[in-house]
Amino acid sequence: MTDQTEEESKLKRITTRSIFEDLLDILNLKRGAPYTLWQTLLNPGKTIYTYLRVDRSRLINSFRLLVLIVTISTFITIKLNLTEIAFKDNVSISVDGNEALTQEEVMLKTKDIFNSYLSLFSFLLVPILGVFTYWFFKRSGHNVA
Amino acid sequence: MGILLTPVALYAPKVFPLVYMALAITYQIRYCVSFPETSSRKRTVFAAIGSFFAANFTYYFLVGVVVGIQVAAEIAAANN
Repeated sequence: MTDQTEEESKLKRITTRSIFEDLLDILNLKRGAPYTLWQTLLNPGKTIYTYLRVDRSRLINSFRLLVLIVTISTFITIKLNLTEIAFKDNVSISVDGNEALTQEEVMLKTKDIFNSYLSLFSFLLVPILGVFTYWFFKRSGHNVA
Repeated sequence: MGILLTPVALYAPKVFPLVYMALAITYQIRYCVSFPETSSRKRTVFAAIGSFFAANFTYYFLVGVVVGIQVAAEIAAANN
């Protein structure tokens, strides 16, 4: 009876926190993702400096964070049909009267193409931002890419 | 963070350009000046604004080219 109690006490207690961590563990994000996102939002410079030069133990791997952010962003955009809202007001494509597709069909196709490449476009933003940030901040001595 | 803001940017296209630009540049300045060895504030602001516009212009140009090529191919296929 005593042995059984000892064994039970050695087992880690299942708490709400441990359940949440298990869920994140499925995505290989057990620790650091919410903390990194929060710190990047509030104090980006300090967070990046810490990641690059001080301590990486509390922060999530940058590529993992990128994949997570791109996934969330693409999911929200497609689920809420945000490209249609944006395209309807801001993009106009003029179609010749002889074309087989109407203007509306062309707009729909454009939206579909945009949606299907959305995650790739998000990834494309990273090297472009990196290159230009590097060029513009070169004289200041920062490479924030 | 810019990628996370994309849905917001798409949702509010009329307000988006100014708000997004202001947010992005402020964020970039904040990001850079928090580095300990930062040089002059004027140069940092210039670099933040310059890199933001240059990167976004290139990005949207490339996206436009990719989507444009695809749409042109679709139109050509429909016409044939």
